[in-house]
Amino acid sequence: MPELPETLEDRLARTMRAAAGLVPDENQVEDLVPGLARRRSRRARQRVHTLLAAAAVLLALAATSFAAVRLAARPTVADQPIQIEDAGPISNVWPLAVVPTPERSSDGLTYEPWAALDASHILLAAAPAGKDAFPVRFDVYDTSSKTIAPLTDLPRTTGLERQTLMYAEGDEAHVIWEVLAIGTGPSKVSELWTIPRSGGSATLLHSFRANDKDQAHFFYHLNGDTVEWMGGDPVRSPMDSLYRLPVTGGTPERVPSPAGSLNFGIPLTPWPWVQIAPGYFVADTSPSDGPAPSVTAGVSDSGGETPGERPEQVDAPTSLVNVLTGQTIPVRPAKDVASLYCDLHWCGGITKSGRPLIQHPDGSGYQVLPDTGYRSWVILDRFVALAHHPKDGSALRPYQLLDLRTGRMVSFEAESIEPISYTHLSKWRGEAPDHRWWVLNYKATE
Amino acid sequence: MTEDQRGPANLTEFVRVRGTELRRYGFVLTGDLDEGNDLVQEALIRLSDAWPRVRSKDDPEGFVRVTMVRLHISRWRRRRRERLVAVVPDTAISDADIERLNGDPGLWRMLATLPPRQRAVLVLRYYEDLADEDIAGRIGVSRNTVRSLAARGLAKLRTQTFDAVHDLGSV
Repeated sequence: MPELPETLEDRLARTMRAAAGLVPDENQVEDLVPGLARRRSRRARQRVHTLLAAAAVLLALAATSFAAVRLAARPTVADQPIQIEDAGPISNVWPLAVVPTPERSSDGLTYEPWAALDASHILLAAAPAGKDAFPVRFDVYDTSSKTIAPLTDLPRTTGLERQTLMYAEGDEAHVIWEVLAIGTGPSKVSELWTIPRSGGSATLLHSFRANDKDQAHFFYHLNGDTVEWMGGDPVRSPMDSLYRLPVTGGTPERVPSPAGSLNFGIPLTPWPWVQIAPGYFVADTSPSDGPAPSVTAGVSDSGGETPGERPEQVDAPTSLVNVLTGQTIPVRPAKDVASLYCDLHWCGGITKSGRPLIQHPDGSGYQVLPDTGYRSWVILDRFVALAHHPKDGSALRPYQLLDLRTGRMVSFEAESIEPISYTHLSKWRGEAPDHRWWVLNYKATE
Repeated sequence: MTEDQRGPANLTEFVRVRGTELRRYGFVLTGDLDEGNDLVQEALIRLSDAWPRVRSKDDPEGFVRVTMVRLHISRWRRRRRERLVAVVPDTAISDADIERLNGDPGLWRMLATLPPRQRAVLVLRYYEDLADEDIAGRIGVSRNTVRSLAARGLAKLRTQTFDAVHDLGSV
């Protein structure tokens, strides 16, 4: 009897077992258990760091100035239902918004898009082949002319090793980026670099060492001629201040927040607002961690992370806070809301019955969108992204983007998109065979 | 029933006995040794909080595995900046390593392209060998959703596999 060909499922099982076999069979209890004790003892503050660090990628920071933010009390369309118009493919409305980016440079380096610099320029990191290889250069891709220009080599500081590019952001005038590396000790070092868009040499703006006092830092944001971040004493009062540093260099200026510690603040649009979301990342109800938040967030798609958590918990921020003024806006999820993600004026989420919704943070403007089977979230306080999420086994459909300014709904094909992008860019790998990078440039939607 | 018959007497013993298997599970789930270890450690922190309650249920490992998969799935909310507090990866698995243990390195790489929920469902099905109903309970979705996620994940892997073979001129 001929041997049956091996099925994909069999190969999968075989491959997973092989991979598991690569994990060393060594007793790491001495590493794990004391590590647990240390982590537990400092968990409260470390969690803050972890959460805020994780959240930093959410930075979808519009160039809106703080003064302008204060004037923007409420959207003019406050409680009028959005009249949704199907505008077809995104290219009908914003031809440059969704584009593929080059895969390789002329000298054989692999490209990865990192940030939208303006409506037609994408920052590309060029790295040698290999997993987690550190890029050696930034190039800029012009999506109009489809040409590439070098911007700068990425320097490596002497004495540091295992560099990892963590973050990059840019505008018409500057590009900034963060490199995480290991220094002597060993200790982690975070370096903040900058270069003018016009070119020149990369400049090290500031560096942080992991255990330095007053060095907790998160949410770098290029805000015109300054780089800003949230920070504070990592032990006593993390995230209680905003720091400013001229993009041309200098000493960081600390501006204490009237709101005090913003341990669970996740930056939103516009800066310097944050949404306070104690349960977004850790749904822990340990008494030692203080009172549970009034609105607890389940973390997984339909249930908590830890067995026994109630899956029906509302996944939403509790309030929005302006870091500089301390102004606080409570978030009031509408009655039917299961999850919510907010910017200053708009929130996107899903209802308990799985329908996408929008509302204002104060609960007004509640509107359930017509489609079903989608998840939704707000981007840049302007768009609601709709990701198809069929519960009934039906075929996947393209992503949709609802422009809350105009009511136009556009569609585009994507593998996945980040819930929000501080880089003004979402990226994903395209279809086989080349799996090239595609980007959605939000700056091309102005 | 005595403590010994029920299972490990304390957290240290539990980690000593099951630590390696949990780290293997974390690696298959995430595709990254460091991320997998971090997942194990975070799940163990939660286990240590709930240790008396969990131990009385005789299933600390089930608790940890459920927590791990849910943490992994929820990772999309944590975004890339989580790496700031993670150790910079210093280990990499090569194709030769996978091949040496009779695995398919191409398929392993393709797994990395799946969204977390699809990957998690496939890991629970083909590594943990769980039924769809059990998977549904572990990740907190319906059985139909498990089937849908598995079907989509497998379809994507099939497509990529075909394309890879086709590109090599073998088909």
